[in-house]
Amino acid sequence: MKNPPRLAKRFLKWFVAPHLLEVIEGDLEEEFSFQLKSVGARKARLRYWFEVLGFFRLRYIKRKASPDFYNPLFSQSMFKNYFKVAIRQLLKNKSLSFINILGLSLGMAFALLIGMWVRFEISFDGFNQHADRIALVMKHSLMNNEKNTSGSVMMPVYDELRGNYPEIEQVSRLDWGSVHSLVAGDRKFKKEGYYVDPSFLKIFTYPIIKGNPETALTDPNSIVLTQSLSKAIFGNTDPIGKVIRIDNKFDIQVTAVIQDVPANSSLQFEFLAPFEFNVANIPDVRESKTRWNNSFIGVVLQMKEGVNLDALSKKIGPMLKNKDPFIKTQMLSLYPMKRWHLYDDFQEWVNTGGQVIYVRLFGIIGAFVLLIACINFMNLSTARFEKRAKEVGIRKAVGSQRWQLVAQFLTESMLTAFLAFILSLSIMWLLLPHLGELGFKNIKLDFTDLSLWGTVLGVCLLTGLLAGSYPAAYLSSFVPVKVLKGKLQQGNAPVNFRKVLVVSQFFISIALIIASVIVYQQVNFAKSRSIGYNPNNLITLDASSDLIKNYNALKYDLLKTGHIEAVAKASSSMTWINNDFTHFSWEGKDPGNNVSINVVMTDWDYEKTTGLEFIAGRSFDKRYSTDSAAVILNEAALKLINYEDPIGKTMKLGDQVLTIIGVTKNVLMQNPFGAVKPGVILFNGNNVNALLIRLKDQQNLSKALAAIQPIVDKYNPSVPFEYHFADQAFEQKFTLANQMARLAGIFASLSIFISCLGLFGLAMFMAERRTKEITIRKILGATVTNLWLLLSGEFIWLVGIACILAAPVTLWAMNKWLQTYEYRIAIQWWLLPATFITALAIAFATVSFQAIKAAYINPSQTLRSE
Amino acid sequence: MNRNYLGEFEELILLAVAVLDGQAYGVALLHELTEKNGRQVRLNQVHSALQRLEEKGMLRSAFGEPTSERGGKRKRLFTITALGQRTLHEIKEVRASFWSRLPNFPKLSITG
Repeated sequence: MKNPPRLAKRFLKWFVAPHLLEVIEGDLEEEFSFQLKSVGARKARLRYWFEVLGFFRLRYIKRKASPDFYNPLFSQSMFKNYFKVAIRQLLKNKSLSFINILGLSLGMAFALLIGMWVRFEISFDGFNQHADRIALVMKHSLMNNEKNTSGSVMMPVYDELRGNYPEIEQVSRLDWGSVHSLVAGDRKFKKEGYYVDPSFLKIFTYPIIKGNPETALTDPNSIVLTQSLSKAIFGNTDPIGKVIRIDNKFDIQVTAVIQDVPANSSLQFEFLAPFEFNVANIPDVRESKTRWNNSFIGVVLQMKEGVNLDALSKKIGPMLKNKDPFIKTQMLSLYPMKRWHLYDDFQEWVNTGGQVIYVRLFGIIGAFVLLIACINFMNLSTARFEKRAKEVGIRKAVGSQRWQLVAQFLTESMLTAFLAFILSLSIMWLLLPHLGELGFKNIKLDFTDLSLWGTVLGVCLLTGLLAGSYPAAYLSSFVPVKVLKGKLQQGNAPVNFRKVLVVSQFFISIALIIASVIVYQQVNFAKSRSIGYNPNNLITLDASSDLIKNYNALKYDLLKTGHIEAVAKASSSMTWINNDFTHFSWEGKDPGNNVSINVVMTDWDYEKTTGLEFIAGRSFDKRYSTDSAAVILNEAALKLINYEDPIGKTMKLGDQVLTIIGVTKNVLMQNPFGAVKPGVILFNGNNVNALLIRLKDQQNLSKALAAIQPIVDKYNPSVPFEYHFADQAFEQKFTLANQMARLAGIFASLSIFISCLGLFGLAMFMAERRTKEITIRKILGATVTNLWLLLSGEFIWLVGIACILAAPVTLWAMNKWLQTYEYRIAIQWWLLPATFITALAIAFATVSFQAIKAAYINPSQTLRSE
Repeated sequence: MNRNYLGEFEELILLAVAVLDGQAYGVALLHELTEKNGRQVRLNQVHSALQRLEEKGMLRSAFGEPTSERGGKRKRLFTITALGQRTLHEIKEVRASFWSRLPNFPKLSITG
């Protein structure tokens, strides 16, 4: 009790500026001893606290400014020295520098590639000068108790918007694009284009190269070509005024040429034609001009400056009220252009997201991969602290300030980062040609782009700072006296920190491995599911009006070639459904149930061509004249209708009575991850969109195609011969899922590789640091196996912990992901142990190399070095 | 106003330093003020007044010898500078000129 309160003393020491501390402490102490004599210990201690707290003021806390304001960080000679030391350090530990640079450069290369992709995705539609004022009109409707949102609206909407809303500056119709045949002289093409209004070119920024933008689309019989299409059709001659025959029916004149549509445009087309052309030439379109029940066009508009999009959206919302007696609930809203690409998903009438989750997901993964590489750098730098400790001690002893040491270590990490950056550029260079296969087609290394350079160098700088920050802070904090006395004990903090870093590296790697395996399994699961028909050797032709007209002759000629097994026409190809009817009824149907049923319309030979498998009954047959009122169900439809013995029973389509003659297995035509919906096949040869041709098995493919081509060309002179294989079209449904699986695989292997690189480096250090211990153990009789396990054990523990931590998180996330698919795998129990064993085995192998090497050292060599 | 303004407390400290003549430091001043002025003063007030006066150039300081009752810590001893002395004199003269103009001076001295 004869001493001042220790806590108060420590508190004082902590907050008072060092240059004031001595005098204040002394005064307080003196005052305390005075008080002790005059008022007693208890009061003196209280008084001491009171006085200490009195000093808690900015005046006493503020540290004294450095006496010399001269800043050696920017002095040339100091910088030269930092640089020289950094290079010497890199050269001294060649294998370590290599590990560091390789790991960092891989991380950087991938982070940069992902960054470039993200940049591209974000840039979508940004080239439009008025992008923030452009919107698409969306229609929200309530059908079958389902809230649907669609970009297709009725034609009168356009006239209403154009006439009655002063907020709108420009408005254009848009037919959502379709493929048309274009013929000029002997050159024929099938190209996708939009039918639009003249204001389309004013709303969007698609620069005109030739022709007058004001009048380009005013004449209904005009066409605007993109530069590359114009080149393909007319070569280098001036296309303006030339005539093109479209759809083998109408002659239209080229009025303008625009630049090619950039890859980051949501609207993709190769030509534009006036919407009025459709109105003039297609009776159906003309009649729809005043119809409020036929939604088939898109409407884009540009608001006047200063108009609030939400307010306008609310204003046009109720336009559809009471317009269609069959659909009571529907309304319009505006969908701003800046959301078109990344937020393309509507659920329950609300714009919920879409592509943007991939942008975020990959962004996060990219950052993680870079982080793993940075962690390596930090770990390896702090691990060799003992070797640098003496250097730090001497530097401090001769007067180096702490921040000078920080500058030195940051120079080292910056240099490493810069070397890694140069290596990463060459890695990117090597990878770029293969990115297309991964779905990143549009990434280019355009080094004339200054902002790209800026970003890339920024990433390099950031990596250097991030990777160097911890070592710099840690190494510069050594107290010189202790270091130079050799008393330096490796405290627990950096070791624990290093352990945490290793665990987090492997946590990320293991999570990515599990995720990629699950994605891969899910994709394969969907690919190998029974699809109900035989997609091999089946080709599809798009039906043109000429082909439909000459169908019977075509079929006869094709079968005559001897290469063809069967031919059929249908309302949709095997990989899509074009029709969805709601007005089916059957015995026992709940009248309130207005479920829609998929419909395929065809006539004879459909089952033979597609390889349909029947569970019961038969297909349409020419021998039965009653088949025109027959229907074939799929399993899902049978389940819905729920007839005991369906064959011969009837159901109704509107008023028409249909006899059920067969039941097929479920045919997977749409989403391969979804359940097959109820579907029926109707006998109707008039709605044809696809011609299906089955080639004979084991036929020479090119021979068969060579035989088909002249026949198709004969009946379809205006369209180039084009065909699709059904199995390839089916495979295309997996593009996105395949991409994800492949990317997850790449990220997983990359992260485990970089992590192991770090582990390798750490093991190397541990082995080096413990050389003497190992030698002594060896002399005392430890076997190589003992030593091997001793050195590897520590790391294996860490990886084990990472496994245990990663499992629940990943399982939870992947389960959530799987929930988004109707048709999905259950995660197998063996996946986790298998992943863990793999990760542990890889880690063990990495560490063992160093461990065994250390264990085999000849004791006499190391002990002699003292 | 070509001289530095001094607060009442600062003026007292400055005077005390001048009086102690080379033996002025934190605790000594604290006791001096508590005894002569009869009011409770905190050490931090003394220190900040000393700091401010030193910044104004009216005091200068040097380290003294460490003593055992201070736990081996050195004192900071303050002495008054020429500027400090001049300031004190000026203050005194200003006050004196007011006092001399006070009409019922004797009465005040009786009650005061």
